[in-house]
Amino acid sequence: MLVPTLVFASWVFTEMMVEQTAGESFCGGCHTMGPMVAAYRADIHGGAGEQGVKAKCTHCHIPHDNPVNYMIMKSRFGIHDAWAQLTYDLDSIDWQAKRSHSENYVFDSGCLQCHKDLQRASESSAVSFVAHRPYFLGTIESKCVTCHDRVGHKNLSERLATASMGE
Amino acid sequence: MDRIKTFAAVLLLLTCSTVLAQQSGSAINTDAGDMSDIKTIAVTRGLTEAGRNCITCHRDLDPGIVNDWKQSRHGHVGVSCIDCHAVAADSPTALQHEDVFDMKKYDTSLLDRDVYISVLVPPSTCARCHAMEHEQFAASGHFRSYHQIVPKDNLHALVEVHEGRNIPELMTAPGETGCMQCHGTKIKLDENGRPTPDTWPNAGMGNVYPDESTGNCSACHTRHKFSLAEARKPFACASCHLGPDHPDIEIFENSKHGHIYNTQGDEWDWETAPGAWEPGDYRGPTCATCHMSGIGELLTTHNISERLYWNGWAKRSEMRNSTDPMSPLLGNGPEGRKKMKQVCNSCHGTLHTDGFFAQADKAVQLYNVGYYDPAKKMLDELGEKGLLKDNPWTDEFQIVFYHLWHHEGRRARQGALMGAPDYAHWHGFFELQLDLYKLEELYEKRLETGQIE
Repeated sequence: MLVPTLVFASWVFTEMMVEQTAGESFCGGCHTMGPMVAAYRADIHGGAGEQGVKAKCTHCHIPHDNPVNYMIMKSRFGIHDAWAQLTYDLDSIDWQAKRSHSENYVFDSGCLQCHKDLQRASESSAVSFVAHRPYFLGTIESKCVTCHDRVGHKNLSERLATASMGE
Repeated sequence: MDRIKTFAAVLLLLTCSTVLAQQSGSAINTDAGDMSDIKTIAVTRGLTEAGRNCITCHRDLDPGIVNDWKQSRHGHVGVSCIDCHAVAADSPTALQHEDVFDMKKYDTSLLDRDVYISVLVPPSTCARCHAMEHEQFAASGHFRSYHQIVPKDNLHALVEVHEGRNIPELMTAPGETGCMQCHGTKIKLDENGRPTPDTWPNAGMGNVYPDESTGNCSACHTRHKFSLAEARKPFACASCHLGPDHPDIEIFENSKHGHIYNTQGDEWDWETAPGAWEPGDYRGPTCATCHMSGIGELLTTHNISERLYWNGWAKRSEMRNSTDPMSPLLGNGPEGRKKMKQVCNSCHGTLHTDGFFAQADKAVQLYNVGYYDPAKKMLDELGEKGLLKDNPWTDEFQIVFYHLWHHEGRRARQGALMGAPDYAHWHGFFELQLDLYKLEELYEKRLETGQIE
């Protein structure tokens, strides 16, 4: 009886920790994430849309291709960020420059978790049909954020320019 | 009905203000005035309200642009001004009308304070819908158009010091009116996020935009019609590929392909879907047919380097063997030749195709071995002995050497590779032999006397 209870408890605990460390309050705990969180809160993906629906940080920034990889990547990014926070010269990080390779840290598998039926939905207008067809045909290498390069964080460039970082 | 009233109100306002402005006669107005009295465009189908609002004013202010658009495929599928010109508020090129223009004359109720627009539309914007074309372009030699001239100090010296006479406020004129208009430039912005006159307007192929994206779709598909048919016609290429150094449009016209095009091109079908535009729609190829079009099993490409064997513009022609768009040898020579032969063979028999390339390759090799190599050997030797002037443009040997590879040598090679006898011969090899004899004469005189004449 003890073993199943412990297994159940550890599962609940793990699930809870995964959820607790998924959103803006946890990720925004470090000052470096200030502009990103502020820009996110002003964006539709941060709940600023009419319906108040919001995606969590990990929904976009951790790959959702399979659960094992999800946990591995979440741990890897978590450890890296903690290490960076403690040892890097935070003032010298060029966040703006990092935005130009957002394909490396915004994952299509995350986008498609919510935008599940995008392929079919794209057929609703000529414009999105033309735009998304080569993506779903696999004839291009572009990722979601290659075209939607400012998704998720409204006016982040402006906020980064005015924010004083790394304090 | 409300819309009609709004249009009427706007028209009335514009007419009144125009009349008032004319009466006062004080302000110098460079606008063409309201040219909308003949045509009225009321587009609603498939457009957002913000998209319609652009057209409401700009059909009067920029009738040429709006007319282009309404005849375009974009107009057909409901892609309007705002779909390409709207940007995020924090984009480097973002602006709002009220910040830049005097809006007193206009109905500002149509302006949405949440919408930011950009004058410049970089290729990354086109790529949102035309991603495959953009990826192919970015892997082509056209991508390099501007990037490649950045490190060439001798070229900057030619354009600014020698052509621009080193006059501080005027020395960039040759570059701005010449180089930049085909090669493009790194576009700079003023304090309002609008492009500066030393970098804009230009129609250059290799522009680097403020968002760092490179290219210019409108170099071939001119705005605001972005026509497929236009880019298939040789004139799209001819606005840059002409003249003494790479007379490709002249070469085309000198060729039998050009002969057929000039005779019958008016009757051909220029609008067939990409990948399906094949012999029958036309009787002879244009630049786009051979270098880009999908024919039979060959796929359409926006990588114009893909079907090439030689580098036909370098000082010495070598086989292409690089995947780096910054390399002059970008491409895969043998694969490229195979693809080009597929194009040829869609009209010609293999005997014809193989024989043609045997002739052309021989001409390229003759240029390499018979002209460039000996000329380069003499140049190097004179350089080692200190018998070249520092200013190459006052040194007859260096001027003739430049013409040998940059003008005559390209004409001979490109003339041969694209079937233009007059360019291969009279503008090419005939001139090349004169160049080489001249170089030999100068070389021997300098070695004999130990002096530059």
